[in-house]
Amino acid sequence: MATTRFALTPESAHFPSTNFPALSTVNARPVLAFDTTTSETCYWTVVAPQGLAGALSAIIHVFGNAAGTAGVVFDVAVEAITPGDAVDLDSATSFATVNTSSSIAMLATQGHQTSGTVTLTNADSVAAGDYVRISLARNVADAGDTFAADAYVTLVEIREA
Amino acid sequence: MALLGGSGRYLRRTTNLPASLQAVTLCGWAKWSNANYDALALVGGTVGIALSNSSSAVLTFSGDGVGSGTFTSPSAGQWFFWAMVGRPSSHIAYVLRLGSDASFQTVDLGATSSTTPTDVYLLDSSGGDYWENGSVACAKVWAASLTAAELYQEMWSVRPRRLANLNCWSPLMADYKDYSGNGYDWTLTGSPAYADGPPVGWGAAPYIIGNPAAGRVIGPGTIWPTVTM
Repeated sequence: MATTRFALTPESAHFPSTNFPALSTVNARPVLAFDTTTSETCYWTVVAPQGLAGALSAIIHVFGNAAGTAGVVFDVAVEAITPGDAVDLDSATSFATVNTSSSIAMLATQGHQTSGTVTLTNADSVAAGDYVRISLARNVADAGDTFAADAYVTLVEIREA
Repeated sequence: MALLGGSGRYLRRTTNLPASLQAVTLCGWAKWSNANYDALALVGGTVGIALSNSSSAVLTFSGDGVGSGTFTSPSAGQWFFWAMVGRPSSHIAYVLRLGSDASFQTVDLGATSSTTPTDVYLLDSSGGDYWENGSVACAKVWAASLTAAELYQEMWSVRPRRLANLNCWSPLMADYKDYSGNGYDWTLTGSPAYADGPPVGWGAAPYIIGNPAAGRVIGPGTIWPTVTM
């Protein structure tokens, strides 16, 4: 049975100092507004919960700031650090290779929400108790990212198979 | 998001303000759209303190009767955190330019007047005469003198960390209301306009689902032992 492991909300995201999605609201719903021309990134920090052992996937809930069925593409990356790992947090990051979604077709009516799944094949060997960062970026350079408006992410679910 | 200044647009409060300029803190994030020279924020009554951008694009902290001091200024388009704090022995301003400053720049103008504030402005300082061409976000007002350590915590959270003596809190993401519960909304002159805000999170925690067999959900500050997935 699939199990939800993390619910990553816009209010719990944190950001790099440049090229970040705007934390915004649409009809009083918090959203992260990912630009259509600049690849923007945000992060969440969590602890890998006890019992975590299966393959992970990210389910991205998204709607657009325009009508149309063009697609958006997201990159999801995982950084898992076990206490004692030789990662210098002062100066380095250790994200595993990016996992890229297929093109997620937006719904024809503006304001209607869809979702896309990214299989986290590269999950940095995350294990229970790890310090984990999850990165989400819109891959505007991908040929499948054709939606010419902001993509509003309302929630990211990290699901264990 | 942030409230976008320009064309005479500014925020003002004239009632329910902190009782003394010796116990007040006003802070937020701001960005100039260009090297325009006008006022970012003011708090005061018969005397006041203000942050403004001079004609030579120098961010300046000034107070009635106590002179002024300058900061290494943000560039146009660069987000910066700012705060003005009134204490009995000093009124001091803090500035941190995103991507440029590792710690606060400070300007201390010395002892403060005990005057009762009658005006607080954002994006202006005098009824539309000095409106700022820029953006402001995450505005917070306390009837207390916050320390630099407290301001570092406030800087990285839209939501206020310190609740004691909180007078007004306005994210300025989609409106200019007071979210503190006090109902001390700002009055806007001009038509509202909003733009992308600074890279500051709301200050909430993600939901983490614990051992499914035990059915535990760990949320932001709460544990619900009966939730199962």
